Formats: sequence, structure tokens, C-alpha cells
Amino acid sequence: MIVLQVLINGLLTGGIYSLISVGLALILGTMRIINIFHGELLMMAMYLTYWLYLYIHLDPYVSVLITAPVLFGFGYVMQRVLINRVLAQPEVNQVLLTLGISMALINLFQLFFSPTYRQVRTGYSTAVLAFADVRISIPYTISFMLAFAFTFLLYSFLIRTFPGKAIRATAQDRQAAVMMGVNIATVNAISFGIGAALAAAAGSLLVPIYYIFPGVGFPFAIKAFVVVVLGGMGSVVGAALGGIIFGVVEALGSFFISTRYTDAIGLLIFIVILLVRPAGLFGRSRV
Amino acid sequence: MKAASLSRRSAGRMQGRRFTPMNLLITMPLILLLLLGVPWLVSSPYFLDIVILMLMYMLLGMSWNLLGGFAGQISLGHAIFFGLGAYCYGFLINQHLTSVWIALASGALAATVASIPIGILCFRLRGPYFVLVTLAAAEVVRILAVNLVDLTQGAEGMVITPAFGISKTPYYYLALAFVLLELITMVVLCSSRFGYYYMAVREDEDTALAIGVNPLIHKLWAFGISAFFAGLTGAFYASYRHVIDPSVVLSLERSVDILLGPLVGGIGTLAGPLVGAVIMVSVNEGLRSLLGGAYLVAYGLILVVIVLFFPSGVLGVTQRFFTREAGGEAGKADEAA
Repeated sequence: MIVLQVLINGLLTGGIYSLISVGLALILGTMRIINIFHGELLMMAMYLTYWLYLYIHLDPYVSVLITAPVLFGFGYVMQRVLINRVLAQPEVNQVLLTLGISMALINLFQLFFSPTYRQVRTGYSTAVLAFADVRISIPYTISFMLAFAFTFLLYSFLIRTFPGKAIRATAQDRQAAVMMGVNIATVNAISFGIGAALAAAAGSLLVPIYYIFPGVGFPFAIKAFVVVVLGGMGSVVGAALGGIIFGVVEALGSFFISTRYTDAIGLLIFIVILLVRPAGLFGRSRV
Repeated sequence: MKAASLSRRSAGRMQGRRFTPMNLLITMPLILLLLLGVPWLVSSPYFLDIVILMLMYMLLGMSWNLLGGFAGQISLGHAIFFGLGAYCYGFLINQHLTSVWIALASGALAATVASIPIGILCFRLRGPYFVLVTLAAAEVVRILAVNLVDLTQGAEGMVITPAFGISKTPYYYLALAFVLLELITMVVLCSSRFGYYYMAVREDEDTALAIGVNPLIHKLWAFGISAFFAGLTGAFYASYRHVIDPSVVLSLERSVDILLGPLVGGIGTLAGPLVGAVIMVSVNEGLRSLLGGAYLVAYGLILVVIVLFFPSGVLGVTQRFFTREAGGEAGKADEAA
């Protein structure tokens, strides 16, 4: 019975990992760039949610409606002003640029808002649903549901709408997309914005169940990197499923081995999968 | 375009345009004499400490540069080998198992041995994915170091018996000797055919394979040699600082520090990491005393500025300046690239 409990906890955490990873996969798919400050987008959204709660008592789940558009704008501008300039450069420069932005953001927040841990405790933060021995946290469940809904929305957007199709076309074959009249510059900026908005949504959903501090994003970003590789290199569906699998494996691992190794277990599983299937679980090509 | 110009530049360097035997014969003894005199010239322990720090970052930068600059494999997990070297040294010394010298060598060898499985795993991925997996591997090693308390004393940090007393002078000479050893290794290695193998792998792995250069083998060699020197530096660090803190030696910041030197100096050049280490350590110390806690913000911004405006580093900028002065074809070609 306790294993079932662990499984459910893992599944619910996995939903958040999915949401973060999907945004990263979208950016990776269209621009072939690793966004190292993806976690800092999440962190900024968490702070924004915190302030919205503190000053106008906005519920964290409702504040998604504000944080996602704000971070979309931030991502869009960052892509236009900074990222766009290194897209044609060697990948070391791309990695270092996003790394530099990440360092600057973390330390800027540390400087202005101190490294203190903050938290938002809503009325439902500790509420649970109990079925026999299994207890399901309500905020985790809401976060999971919303994460699932956002992922589904993104999927429909990519499949059904014209901008979505343009994004997929760019990811598949950049040159062919240009010849079909796709404006690559706009697609890149919009993809980055959407990636940032998804990270922001994940940030807001994390607020009722997690702490807020300047370095909060990085461990989540590392997990998202793993999930993206696991899910098959820039595949959005792969990243969504990969996130859930990662959450479950991590929960099982820390239950059966030790909670001290929670953060290492997922990464070790990743290395094992890499040995067996270098293309990722759902991927076809390696590069 | 960029990569091609980079390779042409470094290839030119290797053919000995700068390092002509006559030049070396005259300048080297002078430089060496100057370097040997540093502890007398720099009397304040604080400044000698900074000089030693520069030498350490030269060691690490050259090590990273072999893998990242010449073989083109960008590692964001180089702190693994630095940390491993440090812990190996600390463990051997604290258990009174070996002498200081053997412990230093063991640190380097342990890192080399560890590089083989890590390399085989990480090199299954290419390009951006390789960067990600090195980052993840470094995180695993950090978490292990924090939790394997019996071996590492965990987050408290490992305290080590000092090796050569309190004076900084012996450490300076030791670091200087290591820098010379590594520099000679790099010069010899990169002017041999192996240097060209690494560059072939960097430019195009599939083509390299097609002309009979096995990318995996050569990447592993570069990784191993790189890890050897990173491990050696780690062991030296442990002997010098007497304390190993996992959040210092194994953090992402450490991995970033390691690659900043070559980045500032010029990635894929022999002198780049040397120049870069001097600049980065000076800037770092200057910022720290000027800005206090804000210096890391400036650090990140500097990274952004370098990447956007000086992607070929200080050496690239000065070289472009000199070739333009000469007005030769090379200058124009460089600008076009």
C-alpha cells in the first residue's frame, strides 16, 4: 500500500517536471539551443506569484494568468535581444551565454531579495484526500491537473494552429520552413516565449507546495535537461511522458534507497538509460 | 564560418609562427627567471596567494581547453575531476597511506581512471546533449560527495594535514612546475598529429571517422589527459588549502570558473588559458573587493558580454588588431570570417 502512495506522489511531482521539460524541449527543438536559465524563469515566476499573493492576495493558481504572459514577454525579448545573436555561433558560445544570464539572474535576486527561503501557505496547502491508507495531497493534485492541462493546450496549439505548425516545421527542417514562407525569427522568439511561459506556469503551480529562494530553479532545470534527453531530444510528447516517468522513478528510488539521494537517483537512472538507449526512450535520432 | 576561422588561427599557431625555436631560446630563460623570482618580488602573502590562484586556473584552463577547445567537447562538469583529485589526495594523506608526492600523483591518476567510464557514457551524446550530460554527471558526483560521509566528511568538509608548512612559497614553485609540465605537454601534444586528430573531431566527427580518425578513441584520450591535469590541480588545491568543501570543489560555479579562463583568453589556442587565467583571477578579485556580494552578478554579465562581443577571446581580438595593422590578406580573410 505504501508503494502505491509513493507511486502517486511521484506521478504528481512528475506532472510539474513535465511542464518544465516541455518548454525546454520546445526551445531545444526549434533553436537547437540549451536554455540553462530555464530554471531561473521558473524562479522569477515563483517570486512574482509570491508578491502577487503577498500584496494583492491573489491565489497562486490564479496568478498563472499573470505570470505566464509576463514571462512570455520576458522570454520573447530575451530571445530577440540576446539569444538570437548567438544562434549561428559555435555551441560553446550559446551555452555560455545562457549560463551567464542564469548566473546574473540568480545573483541579482540574491542581492535584492536576500537568499532567505520564503513560502506561501494557502488554506489548502496541507489538505489531503484520503482513500483507505493512501493519502493524496490536494495542492499536488491541482498542480498536476493544471500541468496536464497546459501540456495538452500546448500540444493542441502545435498540432492545430498555424503558428504551431510553423514551429513544428522549423523544428523539422529549418531551410524547408524558410522556403515555405515561415518567418524563422518570429517562430524562434515565440517558441522561446512559450517555453518561458510554461516554466512560469510550473513556477506558479509550485508555489503552494515548495519554498521560494533565488537558487530554486537550478535543480529543476537539471532534471528538465535529463527529461529532455530521456524523452528524445526536443520531442514535446517525449518530454511530457519523460517528466512523469522521471517523477515516479525518483520517488521509488528515494523510497527504496534513501531520501538523501533523491536528486542523484533520477540522474543515475538517466545514465543507465543512456547506456541502453542513447537516443532516449521515445527518440529516433541522436542529434 | 567561426569555427573554421578558429581552426585556421590555432593551426597557424601550431605550425610555429609564434613559437619559433630562436624566439623560445631567447625569451624562455628570461621569463623563467622572472617567474622563479616572483616570491621575492611579491612579498605580501595575499598577493602571492592570488598568483598561486592564477597558476591553478592556468592548470585547469589548459586542461579544459584540450577537451573543449581542441577536441570541441564542451564540458560543464570539469569540476568532477578537480574534486576527485582533491578528495583522493585528502583521503590518502589523512589515512597516512602515502607520502605527499604519491598522493598528488594518485589524485591525478584517480581522475584519469574515472574519466574512462564517464567519457564512455557522456560521449554517447554529441553537441548540446553532451554539455547536458556532463552537467548532470557533475551533479551526481556532488551529491555523492555530500552523502558519502565516511569517505568525504560530507558537507562539513574534509580537513587535511598541511603538506609543506604555512609559507606559500613552496606551493608557488610546485604550482609553477605543474604549469610548465602541462604547458609542455600541451605544446607537444597539439603540435603532434594527435592535436590535428582532436581538431578533426571538433570540426566534423563524421568526416573524421571517414578519413580514419576514430572520434570516440580520440575524444577519450583528450578527456583522459584533460582529467589527469584537472585531478592534479585538485590534489594540489587540497594540499594548499587544507580543506575540501563539496560545495566549493564540485559546484557548477567551479566548472564555470574553469572554462572562463580559456573563454576570456581564446578557446582553442595554447596561450589562451594562460592569458585568460591572469585576467579572470584579477577581475574576480577586483570585483569581489569593489562590489562585495554583487560581484557574481557582474561575473554573469561579463560572461554575456564576452560571448556577444568578443567570442574569440583576448587573443583573437589582439591578433585581429595586429593582422589589420599589417594590412595583409590574412587580416581581411579573418574579418570576412
